[in-house]
Amino acid sequence: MTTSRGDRHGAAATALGACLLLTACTDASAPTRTPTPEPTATATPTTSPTPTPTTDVTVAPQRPEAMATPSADGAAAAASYFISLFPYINATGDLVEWNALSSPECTFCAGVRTNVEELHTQGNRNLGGAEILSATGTEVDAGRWYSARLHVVIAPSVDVDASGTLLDEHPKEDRQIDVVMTWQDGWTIDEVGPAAVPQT
Amino acid sequence: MTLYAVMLAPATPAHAGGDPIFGGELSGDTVRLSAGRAEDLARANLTLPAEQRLAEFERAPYCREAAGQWVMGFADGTCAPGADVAQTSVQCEEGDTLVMPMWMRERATPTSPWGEWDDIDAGGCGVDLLPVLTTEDFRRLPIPAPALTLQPDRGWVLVNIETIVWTDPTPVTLRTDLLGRGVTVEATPVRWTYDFGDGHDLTTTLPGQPYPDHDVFHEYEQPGEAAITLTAEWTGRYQVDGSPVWRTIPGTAQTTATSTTFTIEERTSRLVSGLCTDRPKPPDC
Repeated sequence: MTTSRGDRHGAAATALGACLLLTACTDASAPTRTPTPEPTATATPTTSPTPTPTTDVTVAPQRPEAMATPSADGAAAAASYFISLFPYINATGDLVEWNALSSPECTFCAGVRTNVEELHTQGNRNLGGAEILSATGTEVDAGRWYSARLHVVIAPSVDVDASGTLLDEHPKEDRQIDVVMTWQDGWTIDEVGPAAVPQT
Repeated sequence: MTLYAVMLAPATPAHAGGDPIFGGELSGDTVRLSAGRAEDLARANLTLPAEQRLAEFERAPYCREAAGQWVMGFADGTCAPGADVAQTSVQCEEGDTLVMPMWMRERATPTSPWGEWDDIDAGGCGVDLLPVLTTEDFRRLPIPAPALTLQPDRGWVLVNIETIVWTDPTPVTLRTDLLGRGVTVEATPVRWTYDFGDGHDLTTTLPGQPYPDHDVFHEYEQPGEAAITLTAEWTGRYQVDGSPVWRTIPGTAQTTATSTTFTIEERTSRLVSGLCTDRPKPPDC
């Protein structure tokens, strides 16, 4: 098959390059450059710098069962779930769960919401990822007040427009955070801030 | 006095390429929230007789043991021998005090053994524990109506002649209480709006002066009746008993005062044939 190899090759390289950064990306039109580990009907670029499977951030995370209980573990689960929404809302603009869990007083929640809304009203989105390396919950007042300390790594991300054009890049972030929460027939995130860790 | 520690976790250096999208939104308010909740719990717990309490609260430092674990220190801010007191880099306002982390332990019944001490907040500054006086609280205080002085103040004024007004800019001190803590509030009037009752308004930050240094006045154009209404806008700051810190109240309050109604009159000059002090008085005086 004759193709304009130069152009198609160049386009594929760009798409492939972009796909290495994104965790939600398939390009059915790119010719396969390396053997795929699983046989698929469509040719998908599978070369990836990390061998671990990546999550599709355009798929909404599911509420973990542990989150249904007011307890230290429940708080840790709820806080983890909330933070795991971060790449999802950035990729899709779907703020339903984010808003449902945020207290109106939560300035972190509002700041992130504003950024996501701004991005998506312009027709753009941010594609990245987040990994929660550890989550420890504390029961402050049983059945009412809780907090959780999380170690979260935000993957490098890209802002793209509707056609996939790269608009901006954002760096990796390695954060220890404290999540202050309230339970009342469900969780409310009161605030999220930098973890107050002791140091010698 | 030993320093103990709380440090807000530093971020790892960002890679080249754009601004971080997560860390920038993190809020320092978590410290105040956590410290306030721990303080509320500790205070509420004291209302129970000691034998009945199922929880105990104590502020004490983090102490790092040789094995690397963080354990609870003593209420006086020291650590057991062999353990290092954690350092602090929390910046508190001048005159304010550092507050140690709150530790809690619980027992199932009054006769059960106590559980382990657990830290429920990481401490902060004294001001974090103080109740907050909101703009709404401020507006509910009995801030007085502004002083309102008219010149002339004889029940009538003349058209096209300056009717002078002035008020008192002196701050007012009030006492109130928040969650059982005494609070001193200082309210200062900063802006005044005069409604002259003839469809004209004037807003000024000048308190005004009497004649001849008057700088706030109005000239009525038509005879009739009017009253002047003055609305003062107040800013405020407050100090909770026991803390040297003064905090600014974010919003403002308003109070008003209205003068008694007066007439606006027209006087025209005319010549009289003689002197009005003549005897007999000329008829056209």
